[in-house]
Amino acid sequence: MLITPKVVFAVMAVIIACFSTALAVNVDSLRTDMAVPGSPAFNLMDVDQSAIMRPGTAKEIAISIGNIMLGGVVLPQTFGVELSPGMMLMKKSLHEYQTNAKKRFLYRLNLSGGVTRAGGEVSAITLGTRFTLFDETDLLADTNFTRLLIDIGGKINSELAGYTSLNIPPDYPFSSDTLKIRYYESLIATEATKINDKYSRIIKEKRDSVKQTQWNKAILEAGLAGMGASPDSTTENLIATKYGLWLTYGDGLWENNLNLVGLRLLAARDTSNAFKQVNGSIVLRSYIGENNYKGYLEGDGTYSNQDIPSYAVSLGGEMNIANGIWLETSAGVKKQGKNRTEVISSFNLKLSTPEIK
Amino acid sequence: MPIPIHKKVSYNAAGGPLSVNVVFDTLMVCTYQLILRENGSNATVIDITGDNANDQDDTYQLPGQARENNGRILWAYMTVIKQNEKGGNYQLGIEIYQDGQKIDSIMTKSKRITGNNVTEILIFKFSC
Repeated sequence: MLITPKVVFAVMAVIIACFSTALAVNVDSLRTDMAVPGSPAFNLMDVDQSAIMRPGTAKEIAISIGNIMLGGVVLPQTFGVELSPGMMLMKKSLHEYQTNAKKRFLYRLNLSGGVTRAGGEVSAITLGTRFTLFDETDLLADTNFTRLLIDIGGKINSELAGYTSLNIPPDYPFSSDTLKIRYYESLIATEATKINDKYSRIIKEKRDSVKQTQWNKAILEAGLAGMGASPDSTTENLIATKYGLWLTYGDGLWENNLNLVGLRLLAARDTSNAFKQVNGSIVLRSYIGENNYKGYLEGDGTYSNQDIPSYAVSLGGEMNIANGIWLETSAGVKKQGKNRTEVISSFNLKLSTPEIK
Repeated sequence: MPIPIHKKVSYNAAGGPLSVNVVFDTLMVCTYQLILRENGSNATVIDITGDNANDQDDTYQLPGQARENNGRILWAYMTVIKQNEKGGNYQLGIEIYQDGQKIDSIMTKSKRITGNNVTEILIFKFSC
């Protein structure tokens, strides 16, 4: 059997998995999630996913607000809205996205907000934003990849045009014979599906190939959120009660390396009504490998003025074992104050959006 | 795969030349091919290709005088390709202009792409 990186990774995963099961200590409760949350506002409040509205257009927002104003909608106890104003309000232009940094920032900007109600009144309001300062992994901004896809798109159009020119009569679809029109419509649809399916596989291959080279490019994302709550269930007396800040930076130093820094800071009012509850954490992770299988070394530090700071170091790996299924495993040690050093481990299967073949 | 959308365009035979403008509202890659066919035949009058990743104008003047386009059929093949797994929405269309005025158009509905790529076909017949 050939000892490839994939084989080494699989063996390492099995060893760590056995090790993890024996120790039965889960690292997930200790490790900070280094990614900036998709919707920072929802991270500060406890929102049921079903109570989140994600309007895609300004019209959808207007309709929803209209329904609420007219009393046609009963709001749940917690209710959230997440939207991208750039995507909703601006006419989308790929050329502008690729050439205009300000517009690209607005397209990627995400706003989130939510309300919590108590006794029918609003008791807390949360607002958040997530933004990308730069992202060299973004395939939409990759002009070389765009040129590849334009070439493929041109071939699809050309093949379909050639087919219709040879097989579809010139009077279609303006003849008076409805049956004939339906017949040719189905012929065109079948051929269009056939041609598009053929090129879909090529597009996926090209995308996978580009992703292999882009996975460790530079990226900087940030998220901010704030919560205002009212002690007496009226919006008039809302005061800021919680703030959150998230920051993620990633970059590769060489072809098979990616280094990530994740920072999280949460501040909340305590019972004395002062911002004295502060929690912060930092994660440094260095990957070696490729997009689909990689090992990493990670260092975590967690600070809290309510608790003893803790530090952890672990070794782990991630492997794309099937389309959309990721295996993640890690093992390491954690030290909190003067407590005995603890062995930590994790073994997870993670699902992501499967790719269309 | 979407079925072709078609429309008859009435225009002024005595007016100025006809122009075709390709409209995109998407961040995904879109390429198009416009083919103008002679009345009652598949003979090609013009065959133009383009895409949405450049700053060039996607407006084309049809050749000859306006009346020469009577009965001609314009086929617009527009293929949308998503760059990442996330995909997105797209809305595409063709606008027909004469003497600086938009005289007709076809716009697809705003749709979310389901596969990696999709082709929309829009067909116009010019009539004066």
